[in-house]
Amino acid sequence: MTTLLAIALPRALVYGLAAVVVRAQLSLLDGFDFTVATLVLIAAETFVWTANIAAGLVGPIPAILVGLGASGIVAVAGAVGWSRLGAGLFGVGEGNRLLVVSLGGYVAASGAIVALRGPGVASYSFVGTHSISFAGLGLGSGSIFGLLGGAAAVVGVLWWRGSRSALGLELLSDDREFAEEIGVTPTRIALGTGVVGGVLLTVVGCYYAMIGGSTPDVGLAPFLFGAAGALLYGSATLRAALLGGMTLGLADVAVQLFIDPAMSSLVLFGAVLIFLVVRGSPRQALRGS
Amino acid sequence: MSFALGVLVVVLVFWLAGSASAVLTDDLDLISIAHASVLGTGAYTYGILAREGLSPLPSAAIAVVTCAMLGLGVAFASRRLVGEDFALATFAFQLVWFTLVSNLDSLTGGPLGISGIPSFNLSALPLGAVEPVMLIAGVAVLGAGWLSSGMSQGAFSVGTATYRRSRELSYGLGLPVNSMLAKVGLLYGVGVGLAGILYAQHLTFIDPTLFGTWISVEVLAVALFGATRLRHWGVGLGAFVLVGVPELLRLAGLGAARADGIKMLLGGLAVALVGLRSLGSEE
Repeated sequence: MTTLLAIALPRALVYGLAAVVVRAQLSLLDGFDFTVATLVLIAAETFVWTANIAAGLVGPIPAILVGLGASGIVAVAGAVGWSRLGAGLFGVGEGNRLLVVSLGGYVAASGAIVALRGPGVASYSFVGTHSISFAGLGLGSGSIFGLLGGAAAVVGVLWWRGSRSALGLELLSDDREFAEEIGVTPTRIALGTGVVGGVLLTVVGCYYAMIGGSTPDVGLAPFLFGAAGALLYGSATLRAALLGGMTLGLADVAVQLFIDPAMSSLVLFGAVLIFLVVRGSPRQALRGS
Repeated sequence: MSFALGVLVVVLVFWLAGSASAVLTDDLDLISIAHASVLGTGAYTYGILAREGLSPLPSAAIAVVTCAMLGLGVAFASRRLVGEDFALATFAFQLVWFTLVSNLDSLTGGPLGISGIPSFNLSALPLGAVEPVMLIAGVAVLGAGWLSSGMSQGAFSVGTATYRRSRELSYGLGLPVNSMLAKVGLLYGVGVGLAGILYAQHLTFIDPTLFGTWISVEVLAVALFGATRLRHWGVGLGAFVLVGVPELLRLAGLGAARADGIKMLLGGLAVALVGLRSLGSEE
């Protein structure tokens, strides 16, 4: 029960959220976007930095809220800015270009962090010392945040699915030409997508920062699992992405528990690789321009 | 070997890896994030065989053949995967490779890696201050430049341009797609594999952190400099700016970690800028 609550459910929720953002960016910009990884990294670093400063002023628990707030502001601003910029910059069929540019951005952000604070883990000093009683079990603040924050964010995603920006995203994936003909253009829905994406990535980044601290490559796993989750069920909807990410999150924990924690990346990323090769690129992409 | 000559060797190694990787990027428009795994396969195969007592030349030959096969695999994967799907698959492969190498302790030494890797013995040649690794890297860089410039002309170039534009069209026109992919895959695998062997010989030790995702991006960044008008020399410039300059910054008293950070910052910005400028533009 403790394992389920402390590890499996938070991981599943967080991967589900990452998959929703990857899917949203894929629909909006027509390509995989490493900015998801960059924003997870920035959210995690901002959380650690501000929470550590605030802890001395307001105490350990309120400092978490300060860290979350600061992290949210930075991530939402970054996601909105990038979504709007990207929607104007990358046209249809420029997924490769988007991937290269956003990959460069991610590496530059990681490099800037290494140059500023050095490599390795940066963590919130009080996070390991607080175990909170939750549902009769002693859970760390990271697990509780993953459960509560993740569940709230999932509810938010389910509510957002009915909004104009989310419906616009699904229409863009279904039939981009038709969507643009009736005025559903990426630039028009970039704001809503950016705000939601920023909030979700705040939850993902802060969860990682709380459970193990932030490292310069903290964004890679949520991005890759998010990408795989977004593709897993073969549907372009946000709901399928959410379910795909959650499935992979549970699978990740199951591999760690029942096979070998060290081999979890091998099994999961190997499965992603096999899935991609077996599925292949869509016929339209192979046919080319 | 002096520090400056050591930096020159590393620049040559990355120039070679970048030139070989540029055939994937330029000829087939494939963005791979698995370059470090090919570089590492060359280094590890050579290091393991040398550790087991095989002499350097046969060890290097086996390592090159292994990397050539890996290169063929990467090139032929493009028959099924294009664009960002290909990039994502190579990214997953890179992470699988890294996890495998980090955990197969009995074979790869795990996180501690392999030390005492021998170099080629060219004592019969009057090399003076020139290390064998430097000589071989220099010759290989020139060879890679010559081969890649030959491939960027004539029927081969037309064939790859068609394949880039549309897989189905190139099959429909009856182009020799398999032979084209084999040439690209072999040049890529052999070039990057040889760079890995020379890197291992130069450092005399290897561990998984030398071949992480960041190194893939660094090789990609160096290769993307070849998309400029300078072509092969652009790759050399990229290797100097992205690998050489941060190494030289250490002479100015910058710590190793900060130098690595600056290397990543410069490499990332270069990838982003070159990506913005060159990719996606129709021929």
